Amino acid sequence: MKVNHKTFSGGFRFKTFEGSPSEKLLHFEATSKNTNANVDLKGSYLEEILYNCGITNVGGIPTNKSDLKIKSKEATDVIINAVEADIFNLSVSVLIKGQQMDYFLKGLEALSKYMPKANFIVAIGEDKDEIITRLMDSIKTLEWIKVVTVAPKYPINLEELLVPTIINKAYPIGYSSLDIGAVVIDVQDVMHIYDAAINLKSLEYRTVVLAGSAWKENCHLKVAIGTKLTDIIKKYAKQDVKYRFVINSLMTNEVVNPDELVIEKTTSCLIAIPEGNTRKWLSFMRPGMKNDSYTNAYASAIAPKGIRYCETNIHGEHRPCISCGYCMNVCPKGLIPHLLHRHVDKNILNERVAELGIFDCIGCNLCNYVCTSKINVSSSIKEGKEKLEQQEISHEKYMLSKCDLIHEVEVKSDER
Amino acid sequence: MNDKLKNNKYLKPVISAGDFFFRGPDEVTTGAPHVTDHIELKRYMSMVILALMPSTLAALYYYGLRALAIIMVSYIAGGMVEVLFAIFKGDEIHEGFLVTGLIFPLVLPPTIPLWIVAVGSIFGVLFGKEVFGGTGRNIFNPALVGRLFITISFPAYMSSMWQDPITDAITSATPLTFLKAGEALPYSIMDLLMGSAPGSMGETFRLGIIIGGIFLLVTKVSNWRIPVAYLGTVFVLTSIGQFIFPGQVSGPVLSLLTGGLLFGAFFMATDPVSSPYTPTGKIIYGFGLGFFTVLIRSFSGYTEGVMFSIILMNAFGPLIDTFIVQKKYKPIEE
Repeated sequence: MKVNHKTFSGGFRFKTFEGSPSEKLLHFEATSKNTNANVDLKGSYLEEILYNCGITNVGGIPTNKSDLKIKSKEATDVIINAVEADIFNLSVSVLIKGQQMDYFLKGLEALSKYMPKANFIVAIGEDKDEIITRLMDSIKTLEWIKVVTVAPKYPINLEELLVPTIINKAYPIGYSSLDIGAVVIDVQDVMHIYDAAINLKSLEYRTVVLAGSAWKENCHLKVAIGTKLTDIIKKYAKQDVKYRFVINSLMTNEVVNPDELVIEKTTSCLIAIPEGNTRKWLSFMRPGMKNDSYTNAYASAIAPKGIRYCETNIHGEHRPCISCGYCMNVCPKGLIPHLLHRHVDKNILNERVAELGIFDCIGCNLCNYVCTSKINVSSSIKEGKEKLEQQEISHEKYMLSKCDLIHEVEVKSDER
Repeated sequence: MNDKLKNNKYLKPVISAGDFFFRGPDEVTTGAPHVTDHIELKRYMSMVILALMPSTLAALYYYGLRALAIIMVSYIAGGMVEVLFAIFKGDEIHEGFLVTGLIFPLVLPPTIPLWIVAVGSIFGVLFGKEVFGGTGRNIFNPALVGRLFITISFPAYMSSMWQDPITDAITSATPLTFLKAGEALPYSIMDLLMGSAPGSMGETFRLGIIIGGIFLLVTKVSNWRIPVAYLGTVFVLTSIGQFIFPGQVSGPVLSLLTGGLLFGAFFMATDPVSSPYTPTGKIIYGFGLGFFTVLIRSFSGYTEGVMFSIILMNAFGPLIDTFIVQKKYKPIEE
């Protein structure tokens, strides 16, 4: 069976940043615990098991239970998202090391019996040769599962881009992939399904990764769900560094206060990066062997395997837009962010802005990342979307009408 | 006293420019994405200046301290206009002038009187950039606006007072004048590449221009589409034209290697603000530039067409972009 490869325009391949996690896996025993109620399992119906183990709603696996979006018969595609394209990622190699690969496949098999009409696709970065070889060896004879590789450029790991790239269906941005019949789950979710379906174990542990140079150790951690984040921070965070704490993604998620939070079913990365509020001498003249850039204007371009700095400094002053075009080059949806920014800035908000594709924006924030003039382009676009909604130029007409929805979607009045 | 100086609203742009020249900012990101690319405008302009260094050093080598004086006058005169506008707008001094101030002298002959350099620099920054609204809003390349003004106002200085780099003799004969008269060039290809032929200060060391231009393409500061489309169009049009109009259109290799074509293609046409931003638009822009350069060089009274063609196509830039964007994002039919 051949491996398919899908491409998309734009995007940016992140190199290795400082604070990238190693493949070491440690166990963390919490001193205090705040677990959800673990219901004892009765009955042999898989659906009941999944529901009672708390697997449902993990990645939106559909059930026939009333509070969820689609029935299991309606799922047409199941995509297992094993792409590591963000700045810091949970390593798939750690999750399916050795024997775990068999469990992964058995979990997929259980799911395939549960959603028999669906196409199963494992999406993985094309540089993960070892995992691809092992996967292809194991699924040689299985007809219902395919492997698709993609270039590991951010933001292909976001489902708003992954689903259209892999199955060629328009994604209803701001709504769920279930509305077009696609189920997107992580590798770890499949391992939980294996534990639930075959071992009848409920969802208790989660593998997370500690990323960012403000942790004493950058490793994978097996923690119980419900563990307080402050316990982990007390043990593993550097005490003398002022850091910024973000969960799961540095590119799309906002800062959270860890004091009241616990490990949840959806937590994968605990990121703590140092605040970069120091002024560097002659910063723009330095060769910059550790400065990451979309351009090749720094010496780091000649060392692609080198480690790059990862801190929160904006690295430059705010300037007017010079139409350098970097935002347009990296936009995964082929939009022209600086043009949209100009419209919003000058308050020229009419149908034309909607036709320019402002509702196609998936919020990956790459335009902000590469902007030479340090303009907050993505928040301009969000503001533009809100103002257009207020003018009754709606997301629904420009976005939803292009999608192949499998059922009626209730139009939300406020968007992400 | 020190604090009062810092907070004086008139001195703020100057002090801030000096401050941020030596030390980077301590400002951090306020939301997602929490890390940003290291590229910023000072680094961007520094890359262009670095790419211009071979030409500048060649100008200093061939024309000595006079070249240095011209460069300094250009920076000081234009810089004064920039600083005054920054102070009265209450905004910071923007880095674009670092490049304009260096490109402008490099397209002038080395014998030009310093007061004309100052007038040209001031005119270029004032009427080429500031009246449009400053950085990011100018339609025309400011250095070329200045040069255009000088060419029209002081034509003798710009056409008859070139200096031979080797003998230091004042001459009115550049390679382009030989081609215009249909005579054979007394300069070899090597002369043209290494800067032994007369011309404006920065255009003579063409090997350095090519190296600098390719450096800019590799660092992604310039887009490859404009130089490739521009030089490619000139090559193709002259290859065909030399047979159809043998007395007027020169051959492709000589056309590429004479005059300010290489300098214009790599450093002036690629200015991000005055050139189109759409990729297809850049290619159309390059075609137009090539066409007008060959047209003006071959059939008009001027020997050099690069400056006029860049200014002409700058005017078309926004129209090209609007056309391409309208085609790409079609209005939705009801």
